[in-house]
Amino acid sequence: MTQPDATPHKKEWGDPGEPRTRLRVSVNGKEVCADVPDRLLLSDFLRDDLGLTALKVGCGEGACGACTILIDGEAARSCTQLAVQTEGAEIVTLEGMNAAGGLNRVQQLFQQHHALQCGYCTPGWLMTVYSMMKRSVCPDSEEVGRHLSGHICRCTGYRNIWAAVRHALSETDGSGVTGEQ
Amino acid sequence: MKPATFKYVRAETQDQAVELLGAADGTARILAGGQSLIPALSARSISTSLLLDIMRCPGLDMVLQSAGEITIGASCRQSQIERNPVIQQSIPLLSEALGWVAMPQVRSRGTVVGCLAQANPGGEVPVVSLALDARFDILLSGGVRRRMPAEDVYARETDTNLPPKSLIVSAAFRSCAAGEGWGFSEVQLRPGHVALVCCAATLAVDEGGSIRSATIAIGGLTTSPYRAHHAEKALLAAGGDVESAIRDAAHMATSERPWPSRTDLHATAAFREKAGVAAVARALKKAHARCSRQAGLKNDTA
Amino acid sequence: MTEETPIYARRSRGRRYAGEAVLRAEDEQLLRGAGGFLPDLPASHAAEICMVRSTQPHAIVRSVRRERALGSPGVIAVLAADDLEFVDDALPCVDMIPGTMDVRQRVIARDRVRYVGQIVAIVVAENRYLAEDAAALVEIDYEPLPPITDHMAAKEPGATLLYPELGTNVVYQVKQRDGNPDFAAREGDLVIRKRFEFHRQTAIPMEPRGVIAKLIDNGERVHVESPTQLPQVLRSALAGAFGLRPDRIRVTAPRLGGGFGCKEMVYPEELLVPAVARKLQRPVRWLEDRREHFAATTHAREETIDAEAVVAPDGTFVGLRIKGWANTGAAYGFVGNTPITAMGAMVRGPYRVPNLDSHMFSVVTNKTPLNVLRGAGAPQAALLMERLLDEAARMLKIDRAEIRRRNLIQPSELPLDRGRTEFAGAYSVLYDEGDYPRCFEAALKLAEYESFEAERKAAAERGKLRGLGISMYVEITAVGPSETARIALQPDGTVLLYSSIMPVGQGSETVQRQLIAEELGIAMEQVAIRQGDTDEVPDAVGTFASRGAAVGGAVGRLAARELVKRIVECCAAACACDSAALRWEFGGVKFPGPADEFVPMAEIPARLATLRRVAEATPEKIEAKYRLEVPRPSYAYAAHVAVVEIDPQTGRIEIPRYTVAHDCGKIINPLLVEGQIVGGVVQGIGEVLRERLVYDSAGDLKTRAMMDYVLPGPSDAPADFRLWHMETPTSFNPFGMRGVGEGGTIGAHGAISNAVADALRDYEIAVEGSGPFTPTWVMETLQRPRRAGPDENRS
Repeated sequence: MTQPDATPHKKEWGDPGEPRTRLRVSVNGKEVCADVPDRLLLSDFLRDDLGLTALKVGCGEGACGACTILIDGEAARSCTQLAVQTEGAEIVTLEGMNAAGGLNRVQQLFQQHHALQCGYCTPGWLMTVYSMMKRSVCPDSEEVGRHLSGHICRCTGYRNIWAAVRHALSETDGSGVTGEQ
Repeated sequence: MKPATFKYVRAETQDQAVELLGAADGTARILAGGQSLIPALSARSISTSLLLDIMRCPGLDMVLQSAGEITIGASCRQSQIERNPVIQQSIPLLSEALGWVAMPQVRSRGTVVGCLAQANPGGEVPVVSLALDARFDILLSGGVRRRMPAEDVYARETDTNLPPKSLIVSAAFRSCAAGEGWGFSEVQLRPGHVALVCCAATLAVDEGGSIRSATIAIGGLTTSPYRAHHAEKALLAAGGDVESAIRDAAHMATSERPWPSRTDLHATAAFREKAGVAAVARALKKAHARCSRQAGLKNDTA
Repeated sequence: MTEETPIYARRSRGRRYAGEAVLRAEDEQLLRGAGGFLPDLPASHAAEICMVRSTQPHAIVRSVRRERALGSPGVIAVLAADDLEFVDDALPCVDMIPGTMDVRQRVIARDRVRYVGQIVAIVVAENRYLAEDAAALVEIDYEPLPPITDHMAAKEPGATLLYPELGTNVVYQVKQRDGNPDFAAREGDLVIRKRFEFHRQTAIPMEPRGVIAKLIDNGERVHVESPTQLPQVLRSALAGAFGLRPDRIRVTAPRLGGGFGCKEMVYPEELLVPAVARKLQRPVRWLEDRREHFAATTHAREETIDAEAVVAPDGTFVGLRIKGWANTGAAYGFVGNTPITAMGAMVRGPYRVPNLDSHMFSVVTNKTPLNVLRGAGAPQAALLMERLLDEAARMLKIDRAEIRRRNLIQPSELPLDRGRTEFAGAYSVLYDEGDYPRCFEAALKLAEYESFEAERKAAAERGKLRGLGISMYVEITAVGPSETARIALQPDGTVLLYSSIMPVGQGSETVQRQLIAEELGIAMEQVAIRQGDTDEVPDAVGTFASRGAAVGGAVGRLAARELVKRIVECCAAACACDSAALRWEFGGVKFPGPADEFVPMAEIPARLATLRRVAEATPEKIEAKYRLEVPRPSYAYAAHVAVVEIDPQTGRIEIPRYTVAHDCGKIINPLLVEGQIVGGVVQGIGEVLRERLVYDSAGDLKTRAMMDYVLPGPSDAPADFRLWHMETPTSFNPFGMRGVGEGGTIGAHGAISNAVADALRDYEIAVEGSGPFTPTWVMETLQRPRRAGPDENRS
């Protein structure tokens, strides 16, 4: 169990009157324990307190998908949860799916298919792809579209994302992704 | 878009949740999945003094099958219920409708009962609860328990009739009867967006092919969902021409709405009325196709 | 010229890079989530700002009371206009042609607010949560004035004035004329008159805005970080605002999470946040949230245009007369008048239409300021022309493709001067080389135009309405006036380009590296690129108008040529011989000697150090600069064909097939070109099907969330997207390149609008324009009376 180290992103909360609750949560395989302001959003806890800045805040209302992570193995929004709601959960962010260096297989496929342009929304998509691979979603199924419809990309026009995702799902045999918990 | 200050408490038991709720001011709320509540708090369109998180309370995560009904506890997540084989078998209408709620990345955290309590306009789960004669088990402070039929809960133009400072412990849905068909239809701007209008319907036919039972529930057309009882009666009274009976019922179901239809940024009232007719007709046709098959009768309205 | 270019990704090989589908090296950091966007930069040292924004569309500000806010936990400061000093508090606008009234925005509201979202006060606190708590406690005493949001009402005499001292709300006007502007219809000509309404939209890049500011160099300089398309412009604006020399200011722009034109702007926050840093003598940060973004980030496209076309009986357009008004909001954007000028400049597209009389106006209203958005006025222009063509075809009973053939400019007529223009960076609209008919025919063929009527019939049997729409446009791209690049051969043997182009998603880094590597004959891995830091790149024009590859890439390549000269000179000096004795060969220098020795570029710095025979000689940098003058923009063009299918029961519009044939000149990276086109088309689809900013009659902005302003999703990508390239080099660009970033959106508006009108051809369209064509719009159109025959409008 570790208290998170101060990161260069963490903000001050000088007011002792701010209600706080103890939080114990597993993040990318490491147990984290902290006294967290009750109203602190999970997206801010992960980005600022833990320095996990891969997830992005695109809308703050759960509509765009840029903040998507895995909670207990399923793709979920981090901007529509309080940090304190994730007590006892297992959280995985993109940092937890990255290979030690370079790109894992899904990331390679995104690059090859040119499925990203500005890259701001990309971490969110990747988490949804990982959750689909966990479930062995069939690349030709309608379910693919339902999962992807949880994301917005303003740059690519989606065509290349569809291709990269279908390609990744067609290769899934459980061993396609490195760094998976 | 950061929430204002509130206190957060992880309730240990249902009773504790309700006692704390009762002792707090009128802004205190139950927190389950938070998928509607947290964004509203972030936008500061609502504020709260106290959030009571019920997700760890024992006895709220059950799916119970008993004679003729399935009971779903307050902490059951939408995605779990959507995929649950018991649900898919016994209340397939709910499983199908859940596939239309928001997006999978929201359903992984949101709860079924949370949808019922939140009652967003166009909410799919309240509509299904009406079509399946659902009953909510409600806990109030002092250990008082109450049962409310869904139709009573939603019998007002806006908000609900849920008692203040109450917790919905579970919701019981009528199981699909032998031979009964079901159908769900939704009109939306695009996948992932809200329902402009939606309809949940059940239908059963007798050996002669005449309709012997029907339920029609409509959401999104008006702020609260409603049951179209006149249209249901008309279906029962209809003779053998099920196709035209469905057409007439669809018109009746939308025109019998108890409140004015809605205009918002996404669609006008007039559009919702027209699309509502189409949605009801589609839901009834699907229901009819399913029950015909089950009863071994010829399918003539698919 | 290449025919259908198959698009596929593969690793680059060898030294030929131009034309190759090279994968983007920048993707690695992006895919690992380490893109280094502004919100990701460490900021625990910075105090957090929340802007207090007007909730009134139009009001006098009587007072701003801060006491309650100052008492809020964690608050460091609460500031208003009185607390900040500016030498010049006006935000820059670069398209104010002579005669334009000065309605440049001021950085902060002083005694008057003119739009919901305008900044009135600034709260500084430990973090954003606490800052928002305090912001809610700032008490502003507004004395409301009547709001006016309708530009057609605002332009009328007697309307409430936003700037009473000006005496009018009509603040800008521009004419574009060609041939005989007073043309009249002759006997037998068809006259078509239509009013077009273009609705208000906004860019919604996935990354909202933000600014970090701090003092550096012992407080002598100000460092401002902002994801802007114009870092150098921002530096100049800051210098002017604070009365400082430009070298006292450093602007660094991280890569942008999308721009689309809304970050081609100098925003109030970009001047206010540094002003706060200077005042408080500490680092500060402001991150825009999405709710704020809808009101605080510039809007686009809202115009009303009356058009009159005179068409000869054979379908050739004699002339076009347009008069239009743009809803420019409460003040100018940085290039807010450019889309208005673009209408007249580009409306005729690839069609001859020899006579033109265009008169456009900008009108101020109580809305967020207007600026450019992908296409910058051209989507509206192309839509207008293309609707008139379809209407003429219908009235004259000429096939829609045929009527366009009769009007298309032929290759032999190009280059073609289309008249003087006020369009920035283009003295006249001078079309460069091209083959419009070839492009047009390719699109029709690829789209299966000839067999469409059978498709329509088959869809009708399924109860669906299918329609086909064409839109062909010519687009001003690769604008000047100039651009600079600096390039260095580093001591370690790598080449570093200091670029003037910001990466906004378009892959500019990869394209520039491709061109440099090819020019120098080295591997791409040896080429690095940096941009966005005004200390390294003090002079640049910036990233907009589809100029990244065509202009940025060209100047980079020319700088590389200069670098070669410098390297040869340095080598000659080091071995004390004449430059002529040395030869640059692909990738290195051939040194003279008993055996000619080839030294690859990467080893040259070390070799030079040895040759100089100075003790402990260290390898040095060799640098070169180039400034490319761009007197004329080049013009990309494309033909779009959209097939839509409408479900009359639900009003849903789907796009089963979308075809683009285009010419952007020499293609450097086909993978990226295709990405720009597809991305642009889908953005255009979203804009005409659903996206719409809504103000109520009280002047309040109602669209404040992504669920309100519905962007296109994955299901909106046309299932069958067909793309065809042709490459006509342009003599207006040193390497034959034209821009491609905006074209997808420009063509989509007209193609889809025409396709929808075609699907609903039995019904009269109530209001022509960009819709949006929502299910409600479809339903209302289907309820209109069926259309009478097309014989009423002959003169």
